[in-house]
Amino acid sequence: MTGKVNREDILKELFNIGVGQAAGTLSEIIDKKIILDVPDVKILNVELGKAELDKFLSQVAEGAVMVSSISFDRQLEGTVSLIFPADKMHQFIDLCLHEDRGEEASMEFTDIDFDTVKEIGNIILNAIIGELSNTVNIPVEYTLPEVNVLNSAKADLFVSDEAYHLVLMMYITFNIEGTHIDGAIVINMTLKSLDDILNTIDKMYDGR
Amino acid sequence: MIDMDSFLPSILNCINEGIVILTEDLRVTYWNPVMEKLTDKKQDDVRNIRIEKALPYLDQNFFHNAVDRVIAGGTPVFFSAAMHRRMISDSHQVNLKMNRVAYNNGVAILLEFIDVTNQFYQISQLRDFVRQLSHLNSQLQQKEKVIEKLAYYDQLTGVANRALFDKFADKYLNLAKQSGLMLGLMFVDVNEFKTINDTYGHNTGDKVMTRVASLLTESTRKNDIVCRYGGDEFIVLMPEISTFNDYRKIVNQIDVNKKRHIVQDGYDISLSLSIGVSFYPDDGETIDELIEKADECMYADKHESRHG
Repeated sequence: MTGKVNREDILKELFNIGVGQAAGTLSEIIDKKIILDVPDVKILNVELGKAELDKFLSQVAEGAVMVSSISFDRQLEGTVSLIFPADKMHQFIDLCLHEDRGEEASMEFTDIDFDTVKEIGNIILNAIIGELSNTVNIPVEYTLPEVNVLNSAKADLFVSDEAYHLVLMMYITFNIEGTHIDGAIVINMTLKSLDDILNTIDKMYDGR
Repeated sequence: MIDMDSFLPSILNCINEGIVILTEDLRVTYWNPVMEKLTDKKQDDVRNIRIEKALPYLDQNFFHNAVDRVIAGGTPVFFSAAMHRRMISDSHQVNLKMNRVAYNNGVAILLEFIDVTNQFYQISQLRDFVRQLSHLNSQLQQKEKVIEKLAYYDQLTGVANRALFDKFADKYLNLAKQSGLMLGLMFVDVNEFKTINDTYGHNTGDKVMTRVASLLTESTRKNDIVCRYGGDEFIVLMPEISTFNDYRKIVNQIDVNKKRHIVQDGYDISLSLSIGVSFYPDDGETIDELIEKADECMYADKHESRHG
């Protein structure tokens, strides 16, 4: 169970358990059925991670994104960013808040919008990092997510240039009442942190 | 040294947001004055009771799950006022931040309620302004259309007036010069229009003029400009004519209506048109020359129809 593909499959399974719980929580809060899915997880070096993320930013988000991100330290070190295409976010927020702004949708994001995305980000990122931390039994400490809108986002903003970092790149799809939104989650962490996680996973699954 | 244990309540009392501290079993141990104001509940009334009793909205699975995560892993939690409109009352919108605080050998849960009611009010006001502006904007656009209609279109017949003709004439002439294609200019006069007015009245005469405008519009192509040039005169601009066949197609359509009887207001009226045509570059280099030439031809046609 040491093959890279299998490790990615295990991570995919872990993250899907996490986002499944997040979907349950969000559905209860917004009182609408919401389905979240992580179809793919890739472990990439910094260079490949940036190329993959730039592809997402240009194709899906066309450069403008709304980002909810947290940094964590202690035993695991890194940052995790939940990235949404900005042009879909008014509709997404409206669906969550049972509102329909119609022609006002061209308005900039308000503090209410930012707080809504902060809560959604908190639920999803908590679920993902929480599931990872619980499974490998390594405690992680972090603060509430910061939310930003970036008009011409490039991968450099999310992926550290330091050579000893790795990137966990996954896509996340949201489906609320038939409205489909593609997002991405980028976990940029030190090689040591990811090694600790993967070694623990290897031990767990080799020993079963 | 300041004794922080005795000092802490005084600090929390000064903080300008709702502060609540819960024990691990979710009982209220501290409820600051801002919280009293936000909820209308005194600390003495809620002390030692479970938070869901004090704030019934929080008696939901997602809140209990979040509390479990805060206690177990220290993961911070955020609930937004937008997604939880009635978290503490109908009149105040609050965001809630929840954190684990360690003390001695146990943990407590710190709840921070941040009042964002004013933000909601301001954003709602802003949306009202945007809605009003958007409404005003669409009214202005409608008015602009009316003004344009008045400025460029003949009020009686609805076809272009001379101002629009002048605008397009120069444009089409320049295009013809650039492309090497011909520009056709047709002068149309309604014969004996004065007699129609005198016989059937001006009201019926106006309707006849409108019908002539419609006949010309229906007979021409999409980019041709039909213009009411004077009382009973029309000019049709025909751009991008590459052969005389293009022009024949248009004129054949008009010829069908050149001499006919129409029924208007119950009267059987004999309608006849005199037509003259000129072409750039064969008949002139300027619009004035083309008009003059087409006018000459039209008079020749009129003369022929009278004496032919």
